[in-house]
Amino acid sequence: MLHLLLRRIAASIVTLTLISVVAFFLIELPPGDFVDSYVSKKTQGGDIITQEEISEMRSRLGLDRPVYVRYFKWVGNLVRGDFGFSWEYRRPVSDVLAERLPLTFILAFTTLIFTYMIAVPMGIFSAVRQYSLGDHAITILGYVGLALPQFVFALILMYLGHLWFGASVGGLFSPEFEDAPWSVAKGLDMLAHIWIPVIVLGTAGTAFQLRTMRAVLLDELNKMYVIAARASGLSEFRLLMKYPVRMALNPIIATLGWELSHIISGAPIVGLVLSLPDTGPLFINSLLNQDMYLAGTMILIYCALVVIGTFLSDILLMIMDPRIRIGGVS
Amino acid sequence: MNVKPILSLKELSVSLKIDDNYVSVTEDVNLDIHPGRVMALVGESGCGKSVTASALLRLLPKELVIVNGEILFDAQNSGTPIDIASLSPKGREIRNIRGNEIAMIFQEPMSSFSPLHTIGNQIEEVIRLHKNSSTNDARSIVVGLLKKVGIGNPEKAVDRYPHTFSGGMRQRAMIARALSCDPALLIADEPTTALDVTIQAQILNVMKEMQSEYGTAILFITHNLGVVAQMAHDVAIMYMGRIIERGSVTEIMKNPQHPYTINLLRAVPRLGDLEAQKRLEPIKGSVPSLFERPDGCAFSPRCEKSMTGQCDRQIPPQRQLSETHFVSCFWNSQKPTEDYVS
Repeated sequence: MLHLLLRRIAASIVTLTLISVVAFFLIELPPGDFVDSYVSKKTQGGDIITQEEISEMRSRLGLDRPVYVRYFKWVGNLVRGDFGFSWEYRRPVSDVLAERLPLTFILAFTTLIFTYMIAVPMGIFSAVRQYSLGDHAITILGYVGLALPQFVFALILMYLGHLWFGASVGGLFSPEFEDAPWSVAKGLDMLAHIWIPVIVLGTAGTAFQLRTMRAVLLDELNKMYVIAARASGLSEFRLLMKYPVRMALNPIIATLGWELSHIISGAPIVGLVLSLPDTGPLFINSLLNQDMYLAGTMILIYCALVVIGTFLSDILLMIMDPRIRIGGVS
Repeated sequence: MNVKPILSLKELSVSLKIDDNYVSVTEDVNLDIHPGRVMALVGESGCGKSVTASALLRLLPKELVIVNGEILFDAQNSGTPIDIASLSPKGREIRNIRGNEIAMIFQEPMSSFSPLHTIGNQIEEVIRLHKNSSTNDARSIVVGLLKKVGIGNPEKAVDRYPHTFSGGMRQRAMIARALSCDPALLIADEPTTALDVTIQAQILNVMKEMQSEYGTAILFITHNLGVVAQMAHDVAIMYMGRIIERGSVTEIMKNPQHPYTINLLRAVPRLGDLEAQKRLEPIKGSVPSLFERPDGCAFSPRCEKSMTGQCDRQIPPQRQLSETHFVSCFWNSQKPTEDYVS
């Protein structure tokens, strides 16, 4: 068990290292750099910038040095907890992120909880009442949820939210709370707004997990151990929850990290459409402006979330399934 | 036999329901199981033995329905049996019988336990469900049971998970689970079929020991006539959903009356056959599908003794040959046949 845990931790570190390389070169990939996009913005505004100024700026930002030197400098600083400087915002990356990252985390984990809270019970219902009216209804809803693009869904929900509740849709807070310090009232206000992005981000995942739950549970329901337990007199509900549902949860838990990555990769677009004060819009802007330390840090954080999610699902699986915990026949 | 049977099947018929059509799977099954005796239900694959067994505990999948007949169960020999066929398959009454008064062992020991729970947990659960015993009591009962069925180091084994058990050990644990509430009847659905031969012998021994210790009646479902000779007191032979002959094990083995029984016994290899250069005699043809049930006696198309105009028109009525020996066949062999015991 401990051995397995250590191996997983080591694997996570290796994965993160590789991701840092990929993240860095990904940002390097588009033609031009921050100076180019800065200069083109300035000249469009009518400013005149000389060639000397440009190369002076490049060397000041360290952009004239070779790629690998910049990479190692970046990683070296990262390890010391320094995420670099956002040229666009003219502030350290950590400052820029500090305001917005907590909201991203809250959004991602609320969505994750929403996904499982809806998908697991509905999947169980769907499997136990296979081909019933309820099952068909859930199936249709699920497919619509899978098929609908998130930005369209976000717009529809915003429209409906405005129509029905007259709420200030978009964003996570009502205007009066936007800059207010955290309080109970602000938290409640957030809960009143967060359901739109949560539903938008979570629906596709919910539909997917629901189908998984249904399919796996249908398989398990006819297994011998279920019939054997029924033959020893257990009531249907206790039997269902103790045996086949537990088994069917395994693939659901195993895809936790994957589910998280779905939510996170959907988040920027949804954040932009709903103008959320989280990291979504920030991320897209940083890519457009080639604000590379900000963009790189965010790619790294997003990936780290997925790696952590996978790690958590591994641990959960170990807790849930003795076959993984104890290994083969002893 | 003067003792009242604890379980008595009266014309039990189970059908496969496909949309609104019913296809017969078993027809008019009559069977009595007496306290403390082992009844073997023998037949080829698909003849309806397992369906009959599942019907007894109302464990049939929803497409298989009991269309007729009674399952009279009288655990206490009170003279007022319960008709299991009339109970709701999900109700409290049948759940109180399952695992408590009638227990079942299945063919697949590898998959009969949930891999996510310890062996002990899954046996304790049955005890706690039916006998108001505390967790500690249940646990010590389980340890005792595991010891009885021959699992080494039972104090450790209770906390082990099924995947660390071999097939034979799991079947032993299954037996322990089935006997945990001291049932009046044990249904064993091909309990040794999935095991290799040496393990089969061990499991049969365990079952025999347990049977003599607890005095449990057993309905033993098998296609293995060697096992029948070893285990059973009474035998019922099934063909295409009907019991075509039943009697005590000696009557069936020494004096089989139905051509199908005779053929089955001839198809069993025996020591000495090789030296004598005797070939095994297979039964001609194969079992028709459920959807092509022949008219009259279902065995008639494959039967050497079949009489055209009679066997292929009418279902033969049951004839009584002795107090316990019944056969459903028009052909009447008065002469004693050769000795078929292996």
